[in-house]
Amino acid sequence: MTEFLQTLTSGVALGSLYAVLALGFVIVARASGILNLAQGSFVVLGAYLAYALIHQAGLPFWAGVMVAMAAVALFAVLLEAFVLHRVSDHFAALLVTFGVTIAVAPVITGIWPGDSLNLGDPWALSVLRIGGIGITARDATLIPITAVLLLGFFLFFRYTRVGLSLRATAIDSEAAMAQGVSTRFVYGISWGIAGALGAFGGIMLSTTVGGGVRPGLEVYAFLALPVIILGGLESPLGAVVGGLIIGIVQQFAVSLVPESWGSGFSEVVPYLVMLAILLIRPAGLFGRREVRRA
Amino acid sequence: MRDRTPGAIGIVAAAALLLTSCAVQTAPTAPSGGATAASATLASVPGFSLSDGVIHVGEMTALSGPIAPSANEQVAGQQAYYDIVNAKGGIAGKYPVKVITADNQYNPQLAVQEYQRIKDQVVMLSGILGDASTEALLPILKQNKAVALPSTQSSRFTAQENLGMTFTSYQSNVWNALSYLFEKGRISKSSTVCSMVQADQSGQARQDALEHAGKELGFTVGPKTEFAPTDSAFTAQIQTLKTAKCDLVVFGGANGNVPNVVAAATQLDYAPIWETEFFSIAQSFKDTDIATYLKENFVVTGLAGDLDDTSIEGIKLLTEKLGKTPTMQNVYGFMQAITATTILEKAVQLGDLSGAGLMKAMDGIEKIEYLGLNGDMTYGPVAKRLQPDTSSIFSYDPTAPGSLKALTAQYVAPKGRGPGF
Amino acid sequence: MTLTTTGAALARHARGRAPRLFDTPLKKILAIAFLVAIIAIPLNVADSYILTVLTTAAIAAIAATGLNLLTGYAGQISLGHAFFVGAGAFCGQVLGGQLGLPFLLWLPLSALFAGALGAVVAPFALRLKGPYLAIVSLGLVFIGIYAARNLPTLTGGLNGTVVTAPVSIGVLDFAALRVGPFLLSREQGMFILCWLVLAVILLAVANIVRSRSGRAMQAFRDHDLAAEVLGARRLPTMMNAFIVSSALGGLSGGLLGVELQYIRPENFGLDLSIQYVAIVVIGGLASIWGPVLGALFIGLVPVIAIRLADVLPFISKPGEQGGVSVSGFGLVVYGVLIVVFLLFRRGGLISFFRRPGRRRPLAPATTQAAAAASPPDPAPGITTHEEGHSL
Repeated sequence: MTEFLQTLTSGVALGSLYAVLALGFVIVARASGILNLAQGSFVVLGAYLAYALIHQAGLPFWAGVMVAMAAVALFAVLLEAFVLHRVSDHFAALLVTFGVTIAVAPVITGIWPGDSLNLGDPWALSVLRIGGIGITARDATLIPITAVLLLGFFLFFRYTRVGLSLRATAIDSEAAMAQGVSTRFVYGISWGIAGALGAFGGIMLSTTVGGGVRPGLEVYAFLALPVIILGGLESPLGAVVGGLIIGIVQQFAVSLVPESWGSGFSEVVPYLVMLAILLIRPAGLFGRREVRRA
Repeated sequence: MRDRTPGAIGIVAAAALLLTSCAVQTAPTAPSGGATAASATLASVPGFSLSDGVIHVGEMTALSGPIAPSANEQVAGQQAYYDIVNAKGGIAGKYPVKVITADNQYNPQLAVQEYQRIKDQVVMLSGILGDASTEALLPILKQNKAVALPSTQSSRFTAQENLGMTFTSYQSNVWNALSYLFEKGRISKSSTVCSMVQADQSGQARQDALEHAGKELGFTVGPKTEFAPTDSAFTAQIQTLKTAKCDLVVFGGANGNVPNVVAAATQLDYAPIWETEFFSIAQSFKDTDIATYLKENFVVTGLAGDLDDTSIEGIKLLTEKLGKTPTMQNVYGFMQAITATTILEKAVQLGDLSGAGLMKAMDGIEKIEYLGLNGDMTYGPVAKRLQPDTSSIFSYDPTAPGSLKALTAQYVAPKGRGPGF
Repeated sequence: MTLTTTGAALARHARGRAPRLFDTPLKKILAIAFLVAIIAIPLNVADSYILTVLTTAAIAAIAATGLNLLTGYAGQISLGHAFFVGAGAFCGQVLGGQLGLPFLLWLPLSALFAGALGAVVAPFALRLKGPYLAIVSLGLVFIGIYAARNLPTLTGGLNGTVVTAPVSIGVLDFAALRVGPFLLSREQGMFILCWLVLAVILLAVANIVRSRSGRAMQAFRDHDLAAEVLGARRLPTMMNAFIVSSALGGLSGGLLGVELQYIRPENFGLDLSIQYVAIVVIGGLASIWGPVLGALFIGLVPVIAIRLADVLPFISKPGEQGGVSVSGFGLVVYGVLIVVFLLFRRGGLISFFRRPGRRRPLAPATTQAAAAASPPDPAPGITTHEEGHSL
């Protein structure tokens, strides 16, 4: 029983991390309708900027995190305004955002070389033990933060004017413009939020228990892709639920699966789960079925 | 009505171009030989021209990507030895050595392309980083009759005539470490020893050593857990090891995996002895919180001894050349350069720096010594070649140079070399 | 006279006959020059590095041509092309290397194997749209790597395997080609082989594109509801696109295996898929020569990066920390070029060679307001096509 609960806890923790990474994709998908592979660059920038601010400039941890998130949010907004705005179709946008990520990553790791840099997070290796279950302090903070984020998104989209503008633009941008919604503002906000989320995800990934600030972080952003498909490309709830499902299934699969299934099985589990769900619901768990009119 | 001009132009152009085929060689009718007599004069070969007398060697390593910091230290170590050699005039006092680097990004497909780029500029490769890259280059090396020194410990390359080995095998390191810990009482007949390795030949090599040790020393061999190089969550494997009550785990990972392993082990409150190779240890760990766990639980195999122990000839020379205390990776590169230089010296003596000449040189060398840094590598005809059987064993100490504190240097298991190790 | 000619012309169009492939003298000359170059270049260039780069570009062009069929002409995004290339590569080694089948058997069979995999995947994939398809195809890549890693007897497992499949057709052994008194190096022989295969493939695909099936694909890409109303059937048309595309990927994989002489599951991952997509986009979607130009371009980026490395100060020298490595610099160039091309030159490299003023099939149609970067367009959302097919 303890083992089961331990695996479940690890699954929820992993799932929360996936959810944070996935939410960034979802926000942009809702606003601009594209799959934003530049999310990978936000992850890298967030982690390294936080490292520079906290470890090198000596800022207190949370201050450094906030500043890093703001900086990356700004980068994302500028990226959208100057680059993505000129791109007309989804396919090109996918590629352009990927181009941004592969161009940014080597530059960042060139400026801050080293295979594992110490972020200086307050959680270090400390573990909370409840019953027989151990959960790292980082995860113990991350899980509530994810829940708060989800609640925040829900309230934001439902009850604020800005959130309403976002939803309106996503449904029909011309009608929204006719109603006085500034699409530039909407896109800017959405990308800014995505940038901040990506940065936050990157920082979480490079804490001590995450493995430190290191080259290759951009790949982690892509781990969230099956999550968003599973959950529905435009649904924040889907991102969180999808993340949790995949995180939990992944942890259980790895511990329960027999040796003979081979190594690296955990890497394919998210995709297998995604495929299974897509067979039943081609738009994802909470995705909207596209209705096409001639 | 049919326009015949394109056809006519085409035929003329084709004929003209074909007639200029200036890049084909005539099929050889007799086997082309290099110098036949030992005292024949040295001829120019790709990578060496008599006019400037510089011998070029290639180094294929990960100049970018996560492994780059360690790889760059190896490059610096190699260069240090070549600088020492060149200060005395070079090989045989006459021919300085110059290194040409190539970046394989630890990716065998890139290794192939990069090798094509430099193969005519070098006489041999004095380093290939990565077992996979070495495997990838082997067919091409054979086709081109070229020689390379893999930067690896895998014993499966020892019997290849195109390759020159330098280091103690993975198997010997594990066997020596386990013997040492058994001798010191840190494990005993009542211990359970397990492994966490990758699902490839190097992982299997470690497992073989573990099982041999189990037979010879009498402890219980526990579960073998596997992981993939890019895994970041190790909770499942650690859970298995914890449930099996493993007292010691042979770990076959690299420094990229260690933080995650330590994090998972801390979370699950599991602290066995971890036995691993020195490339699992990165300098950056000493500023982090995993340093405490490493200090309490890790046992590391490596080369030489304490990195500031200048009574070891090799360390002394390397320290002087670098101007600072070397890291283990520097030592690693330094030793490979010793191997390369010894082979080149012999080849110059025999008068042939071509690939075939270098292979003959390797056959003609009895053994290579490493200035006290490690045991001798036995050369000679390929079937007789044997990797050294010594290991230096360290504990992790963030205050020590290179974070490694020597427990014993050049240790050999009392029961001797294992079978095929 | 006029009546008969008009009548004949109308009848021709009514039968839906596609125009001839090489209808202008210029095209004939170019085609012949291309063939001549395939033989002449390796005979005059001994530098094995350049030859290897160009040969790898040809192989990438074959794969990219397949992807172009699926994406450029049929309008389906796929990030999973590396899966089919990998399948072809490992199948080639099993059939050619392990079983020892001759070249003319193992290569087509590998292509068929990949095509069969495409046929299995297609019905599922075709139910999905846009980003969903992209991610699912990405999933294929990871599942493929996992499968390859865990079938060590077939693939060599985690570390992969040496490729020993033969490359000889009858007495012509391309690894050691003997022409009269001349002996060609392996690199020279492989260059000729791969570029000849590419030439054949280009011809085949050009024919597919102007066939009924090919035109149906383009119709579905641009306006699938209208196409269906007009009687084209979606599933068979798209299945064809998928199968041919996957088969070409497998063919490319088989050649890649013998070119590199070593294949490893990890190497057929996301990076490779994205490289093919970049080639297709940079070269020019929905064009025959686009993938070739794109492949040459992408293949030359690392070469140029190395040349520039000595000149630029922020490139790190080996042995020192800090600064961008040479290959990191290559990646930066690659990423920047993708962005620049997509922003400013949507037609791809091939558009530099097209005469201005001609309207031609555009990239997958958009439903948003008229793309600012594309050439003069009649109305948003509607694209017109010229009868037939251009470069």
